[in-house]
Amino acid sequence: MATFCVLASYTVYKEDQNNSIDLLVKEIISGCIRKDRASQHLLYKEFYSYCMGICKRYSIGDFEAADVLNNGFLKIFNNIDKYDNAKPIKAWIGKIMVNTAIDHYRANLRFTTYDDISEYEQNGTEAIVYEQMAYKELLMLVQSLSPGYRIVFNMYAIDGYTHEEIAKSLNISVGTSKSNLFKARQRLQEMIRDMEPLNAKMKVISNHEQNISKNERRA
Amino acid sequence: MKDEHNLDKLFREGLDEIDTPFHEPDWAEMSKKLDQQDQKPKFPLWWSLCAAAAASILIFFIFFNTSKNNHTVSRVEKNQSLVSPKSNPADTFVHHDEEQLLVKSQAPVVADQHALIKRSDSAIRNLQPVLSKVVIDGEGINSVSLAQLKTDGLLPGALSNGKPKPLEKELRNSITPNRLSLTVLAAPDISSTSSSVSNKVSTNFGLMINYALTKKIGVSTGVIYAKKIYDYNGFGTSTSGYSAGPWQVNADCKVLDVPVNINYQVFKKRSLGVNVSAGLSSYIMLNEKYQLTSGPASTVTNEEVTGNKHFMGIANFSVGVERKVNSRLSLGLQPFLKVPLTGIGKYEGNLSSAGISVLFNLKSLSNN
Repeated sequence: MATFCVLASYTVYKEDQNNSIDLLVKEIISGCIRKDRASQHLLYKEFYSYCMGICKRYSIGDFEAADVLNNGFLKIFNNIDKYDNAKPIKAWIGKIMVNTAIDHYRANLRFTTYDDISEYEQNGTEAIVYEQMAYKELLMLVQSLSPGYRIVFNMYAIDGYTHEEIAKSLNISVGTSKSNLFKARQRLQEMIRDMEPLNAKMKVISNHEQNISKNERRA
Repeated sequence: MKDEHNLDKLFREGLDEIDTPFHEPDWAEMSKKLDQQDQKPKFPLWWSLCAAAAASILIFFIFFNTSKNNHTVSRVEKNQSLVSPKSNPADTFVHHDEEQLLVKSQAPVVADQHALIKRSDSAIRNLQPVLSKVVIDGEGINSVSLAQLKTDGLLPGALSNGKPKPLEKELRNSITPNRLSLTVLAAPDISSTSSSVSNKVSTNFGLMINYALTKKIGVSTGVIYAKKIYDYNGFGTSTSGYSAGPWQVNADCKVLDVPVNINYQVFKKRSLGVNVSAGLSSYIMLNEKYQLTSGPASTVTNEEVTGNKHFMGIANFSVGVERKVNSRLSLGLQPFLKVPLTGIGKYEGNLSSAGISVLFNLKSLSNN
């Protein structure tokens, strides 16, 4: 009984703390239910970064990520009246984003023929900012995986799905899911090993920048 | 194996919560997507209201048509009720006589009404001594109206000559009463709760169908679109924290009110009638908007909810005065009171409404 009381008062305390943010988000949500475009813009802006983070690691690059992001937000706006406001909105939005990314993978599965190596090189030409290197590198690595490996790795390692859930939602066997995860990890380790010498220098100059400096020299 | 888990962790933590700068063109795309979607036909509130109105009108006309087709049948039933031992003044018998003759001659037409007609026949036999006294005046017949009745299939050819004039009128009156009528109403009302701060006038529009069970008792149902604007306030439920201090809720709700009422006619004289009615209403909350002012800093929060329903959650009481304009149309004024039996809306407000309906009552066309 005492434990219950402590828990209850803790919950009240927590609620007080989060109220101002909650109220703002609630207001935005109610605007979205009204299909008010300004509120939709606010919600979009508020969760853009978070959702982009999800979409990017599920896709091959920024364009595909933005496509998935907008499809996800379309689902969010159309179903926002079904959102249970007792639960955190962020988790709800995140879930929809991941599901949209999975749908996108399934829809494009038969048309995609990705070449791991060329993708890796392509991404390597992007400018790398030192402060964001860790994230950029990790993202680049994930994006350079083949779609089948990438989706299983994302779902299992980052979003916490089980092999059974992955098998069910991707319509593959549990064995395939496990083997894809294993191969994805193997591939990532190989790539990290290859990058070690670069990381050791603590400064990575991208191919792009190198090209620019070459051009400057020529000029 | 441990190494592999570390790899998962590296990516999970490294890819979590990165601050991606907002890219405005993405929103432009999104906005376009939403526009495209909005262009697709939808069924908003307004359409459902129109559909409800159309449905009630349709039902009204279906009933009207069937009542016309069933003229003979319903008249036979009517006769049945008239031939009661209690009605004994002579002129009533004259009336009966007329009716019974009609029924008798129509017997072949109304083939499926054997039982009823047989009973009518026996009633005639019982009335035989009285009937013999009845003088049928064959002069001065209103041939126009009789011809009309004939075309309506109400008056068989055999009866077309030699029917008494004074009875003619009664005969016409005895034709199916207008059991159905349609009411269009508009009503300003004041919605309030037990702790209202101020009262605001809201508006209602509705369409009702009335069905007369007997001459005095009827049932009515329909759809009323109501906008309920109300507010209420209170004091904090706790001494500290967010819920302390006074609060106030301003509500603006759009409601579909589906009443089922029983009406009783208390008084009727010439063109004036007074009736009372009571019943239950179901509220379908189309849209509830609340503005909640609360907290230490009087924070204003807007909230919007849809989809609350209160089945038979409101009691209706009303008194109505009705004045006949012509045989079909009557105008009425009906003060009413709606008392909630349950809490209404998201905040379970004790919402009651009082107002006055202005109504146009349109009777079915069956007595032409």
